[in-house]
Amino acid sequence: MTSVAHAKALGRKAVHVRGYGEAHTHWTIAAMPDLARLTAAEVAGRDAFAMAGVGPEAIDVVELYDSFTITVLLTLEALGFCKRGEGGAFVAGQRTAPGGAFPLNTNGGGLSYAHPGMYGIFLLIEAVRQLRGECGERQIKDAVTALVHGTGGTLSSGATCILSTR
Amino acid sequence: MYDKPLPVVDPESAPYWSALKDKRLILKHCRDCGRHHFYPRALCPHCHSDALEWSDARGTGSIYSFTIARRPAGPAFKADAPYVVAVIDLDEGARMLTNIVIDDVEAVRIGQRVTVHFDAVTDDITLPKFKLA
Repeated sequence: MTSVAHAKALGRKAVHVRGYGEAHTHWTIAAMPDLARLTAAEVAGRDAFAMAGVGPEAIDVVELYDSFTITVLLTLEALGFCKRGEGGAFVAGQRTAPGGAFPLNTNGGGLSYAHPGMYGIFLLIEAVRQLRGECGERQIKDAVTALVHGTGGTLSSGATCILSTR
Repeated sequence: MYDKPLPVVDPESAPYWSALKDKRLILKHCRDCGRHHFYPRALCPHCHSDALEWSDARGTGSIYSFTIARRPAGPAFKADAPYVVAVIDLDEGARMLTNIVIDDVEAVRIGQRVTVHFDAVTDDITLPKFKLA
């Protein structure tokens, strides 16, 4: 992280933090408000989108924490990329595979890339690399805006960050 | 010999465990917002008030969600498998993670009515489990 002026002086393509939000809803899993709803991600996403002044339709690349497959589906729903209960259908038919219509977890995701337990930083790194155009074969063409979302605790904490080259 | 994990009784939770020993399920109730909560806390998780009191729970509720554990959570639970881990919506509004005591685990469904079942696992500790009503 650095100032805009310093980033420009470095001579590399600058990636700006355009919005962020975070929320925490519970500690034990039994106290989760709704087991089929990531309330923390809803709040974090709402705040991040509001700060960035954009909505889900403006996002070119999405990097989501994938502790379990259900985490990704619930996060897509919570952030408004699809409606509640429609996460499964949303990712079906190879839509999130390489070359698919919805670029998601372009580093392969935690399951196939790396999941050290503190995976969130890798999501941020991949989003920045995509926006800088450094991703080679997996590069998403003309990616300008990326969304990163981390989940923590027992589906209890959510943090959203929206990055953009503009 | 009971070799499963036992709760750590601290000053905050001692009244809860003491009541269970007498086959009573008690919950923290907030005098400000009127809501109950579980697990027992010093501050109301709904409104952050400290005007809390213990109240007797009816010991009835319904199954919010459950899973059947066919692989035990460690050797101590081996003899129990398959067993049911469930989240219960108590009629007071609080939610509890617990076990459903039942022979036929396949008979458990979301929404079923349940009543508390006191399982005295040691001289000092009684665990609140549930049976189908």
